[in-house]
Amino acid sequence: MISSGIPRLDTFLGGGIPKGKTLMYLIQPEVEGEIFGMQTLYTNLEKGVKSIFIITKSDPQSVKEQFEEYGWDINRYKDELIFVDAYSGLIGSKSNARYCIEDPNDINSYDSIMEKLIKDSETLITFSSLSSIIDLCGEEAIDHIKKWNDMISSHNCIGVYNFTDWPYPKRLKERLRDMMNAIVRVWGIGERVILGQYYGVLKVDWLDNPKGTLMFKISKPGGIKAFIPKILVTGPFNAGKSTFIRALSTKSVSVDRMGTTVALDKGHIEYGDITADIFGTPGQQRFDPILKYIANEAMGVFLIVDSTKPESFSRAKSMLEKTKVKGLPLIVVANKQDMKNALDIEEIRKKMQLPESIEIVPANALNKEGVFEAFEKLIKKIEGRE
Amino acid sequence: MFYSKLDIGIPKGSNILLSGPPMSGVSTMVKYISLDALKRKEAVIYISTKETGERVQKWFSERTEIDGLGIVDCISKSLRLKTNIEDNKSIKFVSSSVDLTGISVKYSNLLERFWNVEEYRDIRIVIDSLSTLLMYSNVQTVFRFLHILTGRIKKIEGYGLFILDGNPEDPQVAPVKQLIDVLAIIEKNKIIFVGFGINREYEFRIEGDELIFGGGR
Ligand SMILES: Nc1nc2c(ncn2[C@@H]2O[C@H](COP(=O)(O)OP(=O)(O)O)[C@@H](O)[C@H]2O)c(=O)[nH]1
Ligand SMILES: [Mg+2]
Repeated sequence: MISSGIPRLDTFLGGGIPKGKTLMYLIQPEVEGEIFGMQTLYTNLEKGVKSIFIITKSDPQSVKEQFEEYGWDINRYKDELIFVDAYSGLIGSKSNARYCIEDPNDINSYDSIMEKLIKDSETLITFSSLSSIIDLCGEEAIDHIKKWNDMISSHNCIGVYNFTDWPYPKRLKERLRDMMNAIVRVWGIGERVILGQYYGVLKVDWLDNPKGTLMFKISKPGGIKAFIPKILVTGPFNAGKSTFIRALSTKSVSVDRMGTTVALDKGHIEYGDITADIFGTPGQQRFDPILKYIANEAMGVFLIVDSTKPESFSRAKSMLEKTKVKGLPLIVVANKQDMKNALDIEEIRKKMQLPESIEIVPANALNKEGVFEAFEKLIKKIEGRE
Repeated sequence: MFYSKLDIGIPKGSNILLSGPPMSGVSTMVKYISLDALKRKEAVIYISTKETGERVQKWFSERTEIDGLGIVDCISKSLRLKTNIEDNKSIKFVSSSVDLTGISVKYSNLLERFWNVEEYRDIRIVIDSLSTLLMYSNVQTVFRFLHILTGRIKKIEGYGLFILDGNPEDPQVAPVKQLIDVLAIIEKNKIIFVGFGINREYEFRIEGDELIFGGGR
């Protein structure tokens, strides 16, 4: 078994990609999906897995630069990584790759190299773009891909394919789907333009009931990250909401202007393999009508309370109800724990009459204590891992 | 509106193929049509296979504000004029004109920016030129790419302007023409529009910094 290197995907695959299996990333055109194969490859290079990368749309040097955009230095893995250059032959330039496909338009010219390379067991064979090989060689390529898949399986290797789902003939796509052990679809959502991206497992022939989808974003550097589009931060005035958002965020905008404009905080979090957008709600009563609006489509909520101000707790609780967040994953953050008159979390639980099922995390937002613990706990709840 | 100084009703959501022999000025004409759109605060996504993004940007910035201009540069990376070429807000790079998947990702990024973040509702996408794409990939491959792009243009009710240096009657181009709503053929100082029941011929010239059409028939 090897890791796919994609956030949460190994879990959906039942632990990873078993040896002898093939996995295809089926990518909607216009969606940045070829990074999936790249990330699987890079993750395994880092673990010392011997790998072969078949490239079709640029030379090895440009491919290296592409990896660098994500902060991945593949020069470190000269011994583990073998390039098969199926591009240079196309434009008639010289290649410095160890293996070069002489005529990328002729599917037969791939065969001898594939036969030579798919030999050592436990090698990871990644195709940067299977669709471009089909574009170059025509439908005939499908029979050869079938043959390579059989070789991969009999030599206990692993095959990973990027495939852009252009409007090919239906039977071509069906044949391709049939010959893969696993298919992960990568697609975009949005009515007029693509606004968000998901991946989801379509087929895993070594599992009984495969399922799993995840919204993702791509960070440069960093690669594919699970994406949580909306986390809400609510709580009474002066509890420390803005400070909390700033503490979590890699980027944040605070609009603290009052008057005609409503004070709103926005932040963007990158933490581990997750990115999230986080929104603050104004604390004063007069803004209550917009609370509901902002709470729409939130995936989780932080309720920030000032641990030194028990008189604000009833207000805090009523805000919870106003945002209709009952049912949404929730973490209560007991802020300002650094102050000497701060109540501890059990006292707060009693005063607020919160059931044991609601988690309270002590924090000091000013120096970031407890804020990432609170974040991790909320993410666990959002992902249903707790 | 297709062009503010042309009395021709090409509906929004149309894909237009503009062709003319080399040196006939098709690219220049499309640039002026795009310039007109930028001046009206519309957005233009310019996919450039022949000129670097920097040069395209310069041409427009010398003539108007370019807030609404986004460029997909298909040439700088393969020319290796510089190392470490990185995308910025307005210019996105792909490794070469072979990489149609890359081109689709980059114009889509720009669309997301213009449509969603900046809320433009009039967007045109230019390919300068389709001939280069056809040089690097076979016509079926280009057809599949254009199939997705022209569908997107219809969804956003924008305009697609695709430049072909050469003869649109070339049998090699035939499959691509199925995706086209209006054909514009340029000959010497004349342009003929065909499609949507339109069949009109204009004379054109460039005067100062403006493209002038006259004598509609
Ligand atoms: N001592 C202490 N002060 C804090 C803490 N968090 C926030 N503050 C202070 O509390 C005040 C209100 O914070 P702010 O984030 O603006 O609250 P908001 O109204 O909820 O957005 C500011 O003066 C912060 O510096 C904390 O953990 N400890
Ligand atoms: Mg605030």
